[in-house]
Amino acid sequence: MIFVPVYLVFVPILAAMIIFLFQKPKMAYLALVAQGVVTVLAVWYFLTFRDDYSQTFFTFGGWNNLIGIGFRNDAISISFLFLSIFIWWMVLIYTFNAKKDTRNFLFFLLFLEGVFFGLIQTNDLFNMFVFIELTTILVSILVAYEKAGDSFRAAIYYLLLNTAGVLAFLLGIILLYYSFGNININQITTMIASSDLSETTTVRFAYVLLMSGIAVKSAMFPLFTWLPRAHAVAKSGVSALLSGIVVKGGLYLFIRISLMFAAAPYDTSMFFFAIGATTAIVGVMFAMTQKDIKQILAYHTVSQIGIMMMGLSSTDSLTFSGGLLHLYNHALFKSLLFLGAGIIVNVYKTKNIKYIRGVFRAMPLLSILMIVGMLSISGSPLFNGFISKSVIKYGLTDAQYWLLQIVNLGTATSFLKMSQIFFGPRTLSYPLVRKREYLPVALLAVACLTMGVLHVPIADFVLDVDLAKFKPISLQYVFEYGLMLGAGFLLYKYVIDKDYKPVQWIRNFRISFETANYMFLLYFTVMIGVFVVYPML
Amino acid sequence: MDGATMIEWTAYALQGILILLAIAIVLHKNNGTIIILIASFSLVTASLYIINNAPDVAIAEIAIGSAIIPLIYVISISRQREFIVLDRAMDEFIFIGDELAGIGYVLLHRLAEYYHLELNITNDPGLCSLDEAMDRMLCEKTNVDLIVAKDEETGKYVFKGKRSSTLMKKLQQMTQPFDNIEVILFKDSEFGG
Amino acid sequence: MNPLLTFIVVLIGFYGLATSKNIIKSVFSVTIIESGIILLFLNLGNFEGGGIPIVGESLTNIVDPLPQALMITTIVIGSTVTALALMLSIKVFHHYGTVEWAEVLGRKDGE
Repeated sequence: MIFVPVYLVFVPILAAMIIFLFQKPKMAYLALVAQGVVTVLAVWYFLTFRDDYSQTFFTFGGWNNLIGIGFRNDAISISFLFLSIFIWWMVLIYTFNAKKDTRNFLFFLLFLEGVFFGLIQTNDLFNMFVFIELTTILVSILVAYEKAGDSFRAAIYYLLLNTAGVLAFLLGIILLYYSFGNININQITTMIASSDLSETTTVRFAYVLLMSGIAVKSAMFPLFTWLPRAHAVAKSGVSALLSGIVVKGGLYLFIRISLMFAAAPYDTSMFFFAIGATTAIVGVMFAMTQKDIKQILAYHTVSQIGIMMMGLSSTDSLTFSGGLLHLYNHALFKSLLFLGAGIIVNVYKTKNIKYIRGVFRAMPLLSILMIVGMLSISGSPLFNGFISKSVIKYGLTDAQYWLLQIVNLGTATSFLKMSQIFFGPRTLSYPLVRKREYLPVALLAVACLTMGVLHVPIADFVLDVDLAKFKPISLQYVFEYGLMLGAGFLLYKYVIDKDYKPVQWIRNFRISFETANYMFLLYFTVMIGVFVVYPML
Repeated sequence: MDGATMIEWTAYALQGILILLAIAIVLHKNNGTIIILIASFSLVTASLYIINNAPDVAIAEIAIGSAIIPLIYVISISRQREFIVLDRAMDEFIFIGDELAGIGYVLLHRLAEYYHLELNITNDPGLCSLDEAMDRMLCEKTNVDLIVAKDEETGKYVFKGKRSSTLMKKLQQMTQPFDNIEVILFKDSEFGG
Repeated sequence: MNPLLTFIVVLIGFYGLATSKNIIKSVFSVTIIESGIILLFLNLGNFEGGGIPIVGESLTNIVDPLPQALMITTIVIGSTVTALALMLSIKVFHHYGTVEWAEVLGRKDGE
């Protein structure tokens, strides 16, 4: 029973290899079987260990706890585990068919699932590095799987930029080993708490390097340029997976490393809040001006990551839980939006929202589900985006609160712009939609609604935090939301729709590879200034 | 000088050579020469690994960094040197008699020179006999970059290629003053789901 | 052996990555960074007068074997990333006709 984490990593990988080696069409169903096995194992594991998470710690090969590579689970990693199992189910159902091309695609998808489960559960820093590199390689292959020119260039851009970031992460691990003699996360946490080694320059330098690597992976402010390129040109199932879960892997690393350095006297919350706020505002600014439906959703991922950072960077545990809750909610509604957008793009054969019209008349069920997603992401009462944004808002000061409101306004404007696709006459005679593709979208919409209404028991069960003071709906909230929609509509009508020169310039703004690297070095230098040089003065 | 200081000085010298090699790799222009510099970089680092008492890492580095990695580089760079043209117009646009002369050849040669690529013109009868409608598939699936055909009705020569390729853009510019040459560009296939 | 000189190699690698004009040059720079980092780690594990950590040598006073084990993994990962990047560059060449970053990234989406 204690070995379930290992099974969770290896069952998908083994299933993937079997599907790839035996080239029979019926073998593709093994993917669903493997996913079912993983779900059952995870539920059983959770029910056994949920009272005492310290029992989940084990070491490979029976080595001593202090020196071996081990896996361990706690509340955060178990909830991540269940979230990723759910999203992978959705993407599997969406992209499943037994043709040869899809079988190879299933191989990479299941492999990525196994590697991602390993990343979530590992307790050893070098093991984490290996899993991060494997994730980078697999995601790059999945992005390039569309086999169009745009996807190849997005894949190579993603691969080289992320490898540079992960190498900085490795350099940080080396410096930590040099100071502490150990790369076990539990051990380093204890050592930082009990000694004052974290004051030295070497450990500060290591922290800066680790955080730079993580910033590239999580698409924080100057380093998010790979995200719109990669998520907009991948296949829809892959985009949903990447925006929904894999980029949250980067944020998971941020949480782990922050918890590891929790006892260190670094003043990190201001810095990361600033980065988060900048990411959110820049992301939403870009999102408002785009015309390609997937590009809009990808830029919104960037801005929502900024909101998550605003929550996760704080020292207050309620705001931290708000950030974590927003992470889960975002996975749900972003996957919903991407899968729905994939269906729409497939049917209309274009990605430009100026040419897509009449979705409501052609596919009414899909329109309602997409509207659920749009309401969730803009923070409408009764849906899950509202709950998590309220929790984050609760811990902010007044000035910070207005930053969040600006981001909300931008989100509302952009989705009002995107909701043009619903109106208009029916331009298609007969939409060919596979029925199987509707199921994941519907399930995700139901999940959004559930998280919005039943948030108190769910948050208590999963995160052990009390959210009873956040009501899902009330007259005041509906009125505030209506006000924001109105302001968003005015902004859209008079600024965005006119397509002024600055709007066009923002839309076509692209960062070259050279500039992306300079941004990385700039970010690194700024972090050195804040964390290494400034405390020495 | 005893053994220990000699090893010290060797290590410093090798590190100096490493820095020089790294600077040479970063500043050099010709990709083919850099492959040799990479192989020697790998050799010098393997020697430094041995000086640091890590012979197993040195063996791994030599096998991978000096043998496999330059092989992969050579394979991939050699695929990026050619510009493959399929000649379907069976008259004197490119080939006069058995030699490469003719207006078409001069144009293509100048284009390839500009991008430092080798020109490879083939008039393989197997590929030539394919249907016109298959031209687009040919450009996408195989590594043929350009198809030269002759339009029988208007008497013009037609260059067909991919719209995404920068060479086709340049070719369009270069053939603008010529009236009897037309350039057709294929857009990339529509995306799937 | 001075770790500072190795760190200069890593910095040269990052500089090369930032100023690379085509995809192949970027992959060369990543290889340089990788080799520099591995050399740094092995240097940190080494000390004067230590023995080689292979069974059969004197088992007392050996150099730390952990960095060596980790770095073999890193070398293999580095070669995988290089191979994948070069394969993608062949695909990019076949589609765009060039591997210069400015040309490849400068096109709008959908040509």
